[in-house]
Amino acid sequence: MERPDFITGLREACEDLREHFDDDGAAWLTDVVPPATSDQPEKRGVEYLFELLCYFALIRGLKQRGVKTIRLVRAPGSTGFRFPYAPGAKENFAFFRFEWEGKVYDACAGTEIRPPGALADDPNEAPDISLQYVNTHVGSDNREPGHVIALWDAKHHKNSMSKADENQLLRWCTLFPRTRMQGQEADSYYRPGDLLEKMCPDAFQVSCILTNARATPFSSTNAYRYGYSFVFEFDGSLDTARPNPTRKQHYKGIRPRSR
Amino acid sequence: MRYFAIRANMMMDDHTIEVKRPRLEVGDAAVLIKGTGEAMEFVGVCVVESIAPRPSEDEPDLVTLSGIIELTPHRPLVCFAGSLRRVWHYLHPWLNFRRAVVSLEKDDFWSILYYEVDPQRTLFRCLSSSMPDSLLDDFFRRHLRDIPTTGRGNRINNYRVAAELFQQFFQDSVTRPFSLVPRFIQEFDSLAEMRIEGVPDLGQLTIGTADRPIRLGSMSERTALVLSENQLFASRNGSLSLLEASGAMLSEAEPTRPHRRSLNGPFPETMNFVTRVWRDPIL
Repeated sequence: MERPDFITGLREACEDLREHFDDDGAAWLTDVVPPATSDQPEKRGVEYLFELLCYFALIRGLKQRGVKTIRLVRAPGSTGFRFPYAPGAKENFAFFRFEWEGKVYDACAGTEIRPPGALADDPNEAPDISLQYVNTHVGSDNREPGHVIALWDAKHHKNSMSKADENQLLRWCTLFPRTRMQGQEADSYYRPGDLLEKMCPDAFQVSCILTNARATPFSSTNAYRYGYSFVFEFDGSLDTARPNPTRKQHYKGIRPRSR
Repeated sequence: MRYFAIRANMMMDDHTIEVKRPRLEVGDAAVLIKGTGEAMEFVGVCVVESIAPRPSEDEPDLVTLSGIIELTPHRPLVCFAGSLRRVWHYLHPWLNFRRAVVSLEKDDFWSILYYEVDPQRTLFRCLSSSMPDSLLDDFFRRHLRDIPTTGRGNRINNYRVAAELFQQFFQDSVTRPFSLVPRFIQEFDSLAEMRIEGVPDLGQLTIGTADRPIRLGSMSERTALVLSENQLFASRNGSLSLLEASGAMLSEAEPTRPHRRSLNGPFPETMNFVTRVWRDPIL
């Protein structure tokens, strides 16, 4: 392309971009997609998209595994299909509710939960995605947070995963021991045929970090001790995505031996 | 000597223009502009030969132009928008040339005369103009100390550095997030196909509070449209997108303009792009 044509094309393309994202579109560019700011260094805009992508992948996977009663519980107000931008109360946002073997579960995106046994001054936590057992019936609009039985942290990275990501999940897994509901021992996580294996797609059968980044070294010791995994190079596709360590490796008796 | 841009269609057959209260003085140099909007172009250069005093306060002065030379090829204004200091409406540069007589900086005049487009400056100004002001503020907050500026007026003094930084910023804040959008829409479409109770169309998906919802769904759809149609991102017939191709502009040498210092008059004696001296009115 000749120089004048190139520059003319560049100007026209930039003008077109500006027109597409003026007014309310500017909010998209300034609030959603921009990189981290000094106010919120850990939160990059692109993660909002990636979190919801992972969340929708879970819902799709649940449906594919045979969860039939799944439905959207709408947020109050006119914008009912609304999810949190920052951690917020579950009662104010939409989530998915379903029934499995006579019990009711909620799949929530970024809403706050109180860690079991937390002291009065302890903060609430807001995992990117959480699966909660709720003591209600499937048709109910009860919006109380339930008992967390699995959680997932979505991390979209330009390069590789950081240790801070791993520490975040470790914190959540210690605050929300998944055995609370089923009475399992800590080293019996992920027993064959348990709830997660039966109803979740492979990538979601272990509490884990879901990241687009390539595999990087992590603390296997902590992963086994606190029962979490990593799904690397995750783009929402459920066919090939597997947790690392796998479910089988988490289960007592078939873990790699320590040296 | 001062420099101006004059609307060529004001010039009469005898190379005179009528201007009320002109800022022009004898000996000033001017480029002649023709056309409107995107078709506006610089078509010639001239000098102010004489200014006849007006008979009364209400009547215009009669300014005679001489030494009119056609610029061949004509210089389209849109090509120079990013290179000229006079232009601050980079995406609509003709707005800066609405008046009959517009003053120019010396550098601008010579850039037009020698057809010197500044690639880094153009890239920086085009990309930065495409962003909302708040995102532009964010860029300068982060990089103000990294961009060399002049002491006077705090002007950017090194557009190569500024353009490189902005291209990286654009990559991080727009291109990379945008690249996730098609996959996001595909995932939602897969979900929608399952007809889950209560799930509306993507256009209704929002994030944020009820008071200030951000329309993530419709913006994603709009972004997908931009990605497929806007040439910044979309490549045609296997060629690079404009954004990919613009990387080459960063490696080009900035105009050094050493010849300007040796010039005594308004125009060099020989210019290989000047094909003929205009004797006829331009329009």
